[in-house]
Amino acid sequence: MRWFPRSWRQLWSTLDGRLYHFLVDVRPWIGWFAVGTMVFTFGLVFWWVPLEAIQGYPQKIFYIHVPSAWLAYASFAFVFVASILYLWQRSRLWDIFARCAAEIGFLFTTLTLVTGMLWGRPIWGAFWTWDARLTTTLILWFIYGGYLLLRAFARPGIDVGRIAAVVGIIGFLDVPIIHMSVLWWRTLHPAPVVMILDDPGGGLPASMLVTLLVSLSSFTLVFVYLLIQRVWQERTAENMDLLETLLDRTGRGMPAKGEAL
Amino acid sequence: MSGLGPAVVIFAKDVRLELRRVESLATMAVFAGLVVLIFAFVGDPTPAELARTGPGALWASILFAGALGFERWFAEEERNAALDGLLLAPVDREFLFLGKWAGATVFLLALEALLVPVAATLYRLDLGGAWGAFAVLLVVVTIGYAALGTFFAAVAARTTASQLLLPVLLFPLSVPLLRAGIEGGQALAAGAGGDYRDWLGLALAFDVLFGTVCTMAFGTVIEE
Repeated sequence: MRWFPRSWRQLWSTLDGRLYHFLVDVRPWIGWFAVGTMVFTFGLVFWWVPLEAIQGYPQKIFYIHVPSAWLAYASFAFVFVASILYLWQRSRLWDIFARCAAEIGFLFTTLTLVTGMLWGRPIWGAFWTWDARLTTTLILWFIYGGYLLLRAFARPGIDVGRIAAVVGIIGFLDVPIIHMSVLWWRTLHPAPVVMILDDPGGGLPASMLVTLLVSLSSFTLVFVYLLIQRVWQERTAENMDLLETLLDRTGRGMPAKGEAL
Repeated sequence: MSGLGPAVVIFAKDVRLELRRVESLATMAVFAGLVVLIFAFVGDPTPAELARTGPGALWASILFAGALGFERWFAEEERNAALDGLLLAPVDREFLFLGKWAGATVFLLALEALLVPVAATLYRLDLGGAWGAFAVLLVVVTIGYAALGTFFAAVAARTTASQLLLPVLLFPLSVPLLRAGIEGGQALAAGAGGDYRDWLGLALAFDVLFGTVCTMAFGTVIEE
């Protein structure tokens, strides 16, 4: 017995195996914690944080819109990394991670677009403008919608994970170029107020920044919970398929309840 | 592997096939012409309005006709399991892609050679003496679009809905090329050489990045 791994591959396989089981074990805790922080976030948003002077109530959607947008981008970065890891190591777990992260990223992108439109109607006077960021986000929504459709329409019997991984990588590489190409158009979207290099957090009053950070944490918890839950579901479904194939091959069919394998 | 030999063989085979059945390219040209026609109904046919919608009509027709073509040129390889034969050949997958990519580029350029004069006449597009610069832009954008199109035709061929999925996957990723084509052309019409060079540079960077990535990733997509 050696305590250190023989190779990078072995290190990774023990790491992702253990990490996976740890995450599945703590999943209910993360779920309940996410519910708690979400309730707390809504408390801050509706009762604690002061009303913005010019925009009034519509500004409050900012605390949902901005975390959704960040998490949408984070999940696509996650798809990118998981796709590279899958092509490198061919471990099913990374393929499942990429697929589930794309689903959740698509959900958060939809949420970003919808909350942005609800905010734009009272503030800009229109649900939609062809602003650079809005356009990029819409194109992003189409790219990952296509990614999910590709997986749904895959021919039976081929390793769609490999092809989807390549598409996930190319899609992610294209996003900055798409953004640049629409940025040279025109921009109406408010400039970033939080992630400013020379003055981090300086564009926002302290109470609003605190509310945003709390909201971001609770959205991240929801994201992590959803991701683990989906990965666990997919993995369990794959294991069930495998079991079924094995039992078919031995000609015994699925055992009745209580019957031994 | 001696040079680009296998890629040239595949390219020559595609050109020979396409020349034997000119009607498929002709049908694409008619289809692209119809897209140009449909765009004429978008606004009032006043000269100012035509000059505004013209570049969009031209590039949209190239985009749509291209998507049809990529699907078709790749489906040729699926018939009679020709692709399996190619895969059995002791040739690196990169050369298969380079050959198909070169073929798609040349066919699209042939289509554009017909389409650009037609669209320019119908929409009264006038670039003055800048047609040479526009041709350079057209070639650069077409090379990049053909790379993405050939690659995603191979991706879509692995699904049960390839004709449906190819445009869905291809169009969002082609936005930078479409923007470079439209805006670069309009910069030329307005006499803004600096803007034109920016857009040409963007399209070139796109070609280099995705030409490389698609060539490298083609083998992963195509192998069983």
